[in-house]
Amino acid sequence: MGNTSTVKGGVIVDLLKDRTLQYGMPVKKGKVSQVRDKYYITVSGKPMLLPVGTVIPANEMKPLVGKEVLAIFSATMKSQLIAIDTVPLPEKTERKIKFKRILCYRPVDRVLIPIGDLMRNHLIDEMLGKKIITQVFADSARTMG
Amino acid sequence: MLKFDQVVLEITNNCNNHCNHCYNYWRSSGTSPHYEKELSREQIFYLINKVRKETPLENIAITGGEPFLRSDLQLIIRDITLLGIEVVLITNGTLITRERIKSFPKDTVFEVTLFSYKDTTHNSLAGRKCFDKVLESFVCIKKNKFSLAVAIVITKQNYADIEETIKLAIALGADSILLNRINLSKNSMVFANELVPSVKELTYALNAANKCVKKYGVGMAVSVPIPPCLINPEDFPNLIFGWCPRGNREAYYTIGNTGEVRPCNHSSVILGNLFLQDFKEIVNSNTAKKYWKQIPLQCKDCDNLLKDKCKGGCIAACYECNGYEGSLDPFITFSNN
Repeated sequence: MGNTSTVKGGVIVDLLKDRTLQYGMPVKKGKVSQVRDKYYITVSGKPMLLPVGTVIPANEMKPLVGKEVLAIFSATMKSQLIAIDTVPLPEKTERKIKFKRILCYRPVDRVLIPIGDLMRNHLIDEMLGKKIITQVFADSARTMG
Repeated sequence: MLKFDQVVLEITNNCNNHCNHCYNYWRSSGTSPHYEKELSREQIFYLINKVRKETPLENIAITGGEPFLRSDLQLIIRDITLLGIEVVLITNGTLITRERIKSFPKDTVFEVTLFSYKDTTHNSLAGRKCFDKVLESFVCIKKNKFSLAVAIVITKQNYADIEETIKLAIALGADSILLNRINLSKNSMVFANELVPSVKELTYALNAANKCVKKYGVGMAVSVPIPPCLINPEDFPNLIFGWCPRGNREAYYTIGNTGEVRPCNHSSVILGNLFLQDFKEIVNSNTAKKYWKQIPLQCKDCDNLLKDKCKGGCIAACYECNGYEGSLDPFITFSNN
């Protein structure tokens, strides 16, 4: 919640509809305000008390006072605010995977290496010949693309 | 900002397999303090967003238990990928269906476990009959144009099968292979003599794998660290060997299903809770620093050239099996027996 520099009202407004659809969770525009030591977010004219001091540290909320944010609500309990986001989400989400990690102990670069169809078909034949896979399964595997 | 760009997320403790070699700490007693509890989709979104604001988070490995036991799995992954974060989904492959897989974001990488090309060996290690289903999942994943990483765990029961198992994985679409030696835990210690391969058996398996990489060009990583006092990684030039990051920027802190943060998915040590603390506070805590510093007494005078990478093997296994981090990795003990 610390990054407020990228928040622009126009960006948020444009994002609302798309993000609601994409998340499957309602996303609305909200504005953060402070009254003494309590913090509120006003969404559609309705102020809601934020759990500052318990879930959210006060020092993270202070920079947001007076600013517009994304208010994300639960899909099941629609009045339940579950997150505030000040970071506009990436516009282009369908980026090509930049695979660097699998898991466990070491980053593994360039480990995803496509195997050619010729080699794969040769191995399918070998597995079929050794009766490790059935003919039906081999035919299915050949059409994987 | 912290430098970590990956975390592991456990979204359920439940699993439909019954592997004797399972390292999930809650399996040792059949319960954990919050065995039945799962983070909701909304809570996951909140926690990931929280980590994302403190780190350049790029990759999340989703695991369990078996993640496909959650009906909202594809929605959880969709939430994460919309944040620009890549997902590797670690699964036993038995619950993947043609209908369900279509709803996953297209960049999802599936990591599926295959123990052997022999159905009896695979089923024995998985604790139930599921071999055919796993093979079907490979075809299903590839037909839907997803990337497939096949994980093979080297044990005493399947070490001799490695070459054929790798060939089967490639035949069915594997884009990469993870070849991990068994990592012991409190749960699997009682089966250690049946499960841990000897150094000779391990060498046999690695030689077979090394040959396969040369012949087929598949990318292969030996991720769980194998101490160089057991084998010399230079003898297997085609394999990529991994080491424990010991809390450095390549660490993969693990978020469990109560929001707790642990050093890795093999460890039961709780460093803090993301619902109550910042990620930074947790990973910079004295508990974390102390945890990562431990080196087994037996390894302090090691003169191996790779000792600074090894640092005693798997620190989590040391703790889980022996009760303290400064003990010897039990894999060393059992593979030398």
